[in-house]
Amino acid sequence: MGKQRLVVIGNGMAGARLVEDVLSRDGGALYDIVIFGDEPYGNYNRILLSGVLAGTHDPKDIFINPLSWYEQNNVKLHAGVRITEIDRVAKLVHGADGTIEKYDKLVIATGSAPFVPPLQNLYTETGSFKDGVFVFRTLNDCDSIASYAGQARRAAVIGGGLLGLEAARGLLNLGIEVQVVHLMPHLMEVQLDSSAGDVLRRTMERMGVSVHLEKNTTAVLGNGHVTGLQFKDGSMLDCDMVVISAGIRPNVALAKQAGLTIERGIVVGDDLASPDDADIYSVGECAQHRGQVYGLVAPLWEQTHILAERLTGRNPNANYRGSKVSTKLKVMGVELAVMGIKDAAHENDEVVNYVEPLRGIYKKLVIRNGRLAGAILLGDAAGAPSLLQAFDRGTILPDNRAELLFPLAAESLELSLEDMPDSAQVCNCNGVSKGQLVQAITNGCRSFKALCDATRAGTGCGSCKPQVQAILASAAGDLIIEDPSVNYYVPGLPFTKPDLIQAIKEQNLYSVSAVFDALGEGREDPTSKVGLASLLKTIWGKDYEDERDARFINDRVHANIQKDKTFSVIPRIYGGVTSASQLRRIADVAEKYNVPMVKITGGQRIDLLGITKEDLPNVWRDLGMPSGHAYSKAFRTCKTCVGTEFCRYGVGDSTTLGIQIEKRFQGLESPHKMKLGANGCPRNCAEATTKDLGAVAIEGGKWEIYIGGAAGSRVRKGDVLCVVDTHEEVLKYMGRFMQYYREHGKYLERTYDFVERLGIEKLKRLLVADEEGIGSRLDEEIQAAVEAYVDPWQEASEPVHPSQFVNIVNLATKREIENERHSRV
Amino acid sequence: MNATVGFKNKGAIYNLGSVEQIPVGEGRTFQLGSLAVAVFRARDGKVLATQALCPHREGLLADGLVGNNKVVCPMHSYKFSLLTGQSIGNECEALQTYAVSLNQTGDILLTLKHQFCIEEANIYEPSQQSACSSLGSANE
Repeated sequence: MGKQRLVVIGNGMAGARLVEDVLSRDGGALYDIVIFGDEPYGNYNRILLSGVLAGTHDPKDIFINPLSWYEQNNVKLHAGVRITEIDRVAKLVHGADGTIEKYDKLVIATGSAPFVPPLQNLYTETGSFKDGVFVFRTLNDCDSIASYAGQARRAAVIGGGLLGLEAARGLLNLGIEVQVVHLMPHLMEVQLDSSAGDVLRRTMERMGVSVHLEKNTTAVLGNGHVTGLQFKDGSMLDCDMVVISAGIRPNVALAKQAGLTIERGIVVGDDLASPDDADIYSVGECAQHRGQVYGLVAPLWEQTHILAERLTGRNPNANYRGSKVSTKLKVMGVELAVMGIKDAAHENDEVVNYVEPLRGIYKKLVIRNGRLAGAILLGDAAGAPSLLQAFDRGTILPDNRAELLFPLAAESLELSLEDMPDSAQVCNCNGVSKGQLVQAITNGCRSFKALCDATRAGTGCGSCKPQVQAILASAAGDLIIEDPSVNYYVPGLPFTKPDLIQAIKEQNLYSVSAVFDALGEGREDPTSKVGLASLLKTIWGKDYEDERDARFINDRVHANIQKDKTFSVIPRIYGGVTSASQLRRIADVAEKYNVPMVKITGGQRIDLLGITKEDLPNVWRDLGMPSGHAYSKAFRTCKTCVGTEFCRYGVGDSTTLGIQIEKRFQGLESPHKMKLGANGCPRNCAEATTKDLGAVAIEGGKWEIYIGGAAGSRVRKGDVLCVVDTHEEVLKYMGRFMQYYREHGKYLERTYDFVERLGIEKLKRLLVADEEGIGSRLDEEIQAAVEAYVDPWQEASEPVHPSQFVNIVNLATKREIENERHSRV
Repeated sequence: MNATVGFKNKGAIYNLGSVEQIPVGEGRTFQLGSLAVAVFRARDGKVLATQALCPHREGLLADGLVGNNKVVCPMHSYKFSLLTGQSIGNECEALQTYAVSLNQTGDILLTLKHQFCIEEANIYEPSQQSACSSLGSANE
């Protein structure tokens, strides 16, 4: 069977996105695709039109797909051709220019048009608007408004909704006086409650925009051109320019003429098809689903996604069930995020409110049954990402509501990033600037992974990832492509960590190669091997089938590779407490092997740097000390202070505890490295409060246990998990946390990200209060892992492969070979 | 080491010894005179060879992670195709690749092309009859 014909009417955000979605599902092999656009261009991002009007965006920067894109993808574009008729019997569409195209499947994505209220004296005799009156919808409108504004002095915007205010901002930037005229008692009544509307009005007035509320415009004044507006209450307003932005109406005329069911929009079912014709679909602002017509971009993305799944047969039963409406945007440069309902609707709905009129900040949460039912964040949208997530997923909110309204400083990064110059360096590891990131986004990297891959930003220490994400969000806006692979445990297998663990356990996969065979179609992904090895070791412990090629070089030779290809050797010095004989041995080794540098590390141990791979086993043998694991994603070290043994301030025996911690957890594999500390008093000399796990002795013979501290690329004070009385209890709760982290941490997720992700309250409930009864199982698992520990430096005498420590296979010199050759001859 | 020699198309074939010198799934660096070659023994049975050092910061590619005809350098995780030598995901010079095969006894045979021998004047050249021999060797 040949290809079917897919015809799309409308080359706006919905129509073009649908074509993108169909193509990305290999729909090009199933369909010849034809798209009609009313406007004579490729498709552009209508959301950014106000930026064009305001002069902050160049028109060419808002195009999503240039004309060449259609050609490259074999999509036939009729740009500037309006469809005048759909012939459902012959399955043809007729263009105004005489074009006729046959369709098998037809998608109507005609969007909407500005609603123009019936005003007296609005039109000239020829039926066009009076001079100086505009609507604001297309690039052409932008052009006309901007050029007329050059000669105007005072503009009135009819409509105080989102689009009206955007138009007002544009006009203000063009340097003319702006008045906003609004029918309702407060601005943006669709999104905001009256208090928020009031805060916004004051903010706008501070910017120099006059706001006239509850004004019903009845007539346009002026003869040749506009000179003012007349209101129903008898008052008038002087102006020499009017922009009408009083809402939008779905474009349904074409569908109506074709005999399809129309209410406010073109009625579609969960299959996005018209109930009257199974081969005709509708998406976007013109479609009406379960009584709803959506005017925001996110629901539209969901619709095109579902329809593409159906059309390409990827999921012929995909159903659209409506969208939860939320949006994050800027109104006149003011941050705004809204989601769900704006007012309490039930008796038991809980409302949390914060108002700071002077700075134009208004925050409101509507909470129902512990879940977010709606929110307004005006003037400061710092908490928006996590609230949006909680809203979308319907998660139970933390008890401390203030945390939701005032998130940690890290989450407000997005705000300061906007002010950063393009030259500012974002990724300090790979030297990637904001400008380079924005350029890559403009060039089409619209997913986080694509952006990182293209620029290398975020691929070093990873601490800039939130900033990279924020730049992506602000530069790509709603065009961001969610990349499912960001949730994969390793990049090469399409599984989240829980799904992957389940598959590995169900199918009894004990080795990395077995996992690739069973779950990856036999194709090994080198970047996924190390993460899989770590996971398998955690799942299977002793039964894990070790394959050395799945290890990073450091873990193949149990030392840390250096820039000159030598290695560093750090023997374990438990709790940082050493002895004269140990030091003498280390000194002897340093001399014997001409070690270029001997250095005291930050973890209270001694580093021998510059050891060749071949020398590693000899060095270990001569040292006669166990590995310090300064190279692997595992428990590293426990830094201590001298505590009660000598220090006159000590209140707890931190050295003994540190030694016990190291002896117990040495070499324990984990999603990322774990650096620990034990303090003998709250003066924190061992810096335990900024370690992955820390113990701090406090007066009364007690120990505080800290988790999730950091003093690396990020600095974070740990959270207190619990306070206990004995060393044994410290070991018990530290072990519990470690095992939970081993099981639930993402690969390369440090404890400080992990603890923040889960929240300390949840961890306390799970690990201390033991609300789910998992405590004793975690204790047993960690005990088994501790017992399975073997010092890797024992491989000095029993290498796993004869060439484990061979750096370079030196073939014989020429002379020797020749001799050999001659002797053979 | 038992490097012996054959000839083909004016190039030279070098026997690098048994493939068993390389643990399955890993690579090892082989030094032939002044030429260092990374030879990989992939789990799928393929044996592939490239230049030894990463063009980025001279990491030993043989110590990298291997899979799906790719190697990831242990130094800064630059990724390369083992088939074409092309850098994947980074702007980086491509790797020189070399043709390798196994003989019946499982020895690694490395073929160096004639033009390559000329570029690498210091290459170890085991035979006077080789097309490259006139260029001499630094090891003599």
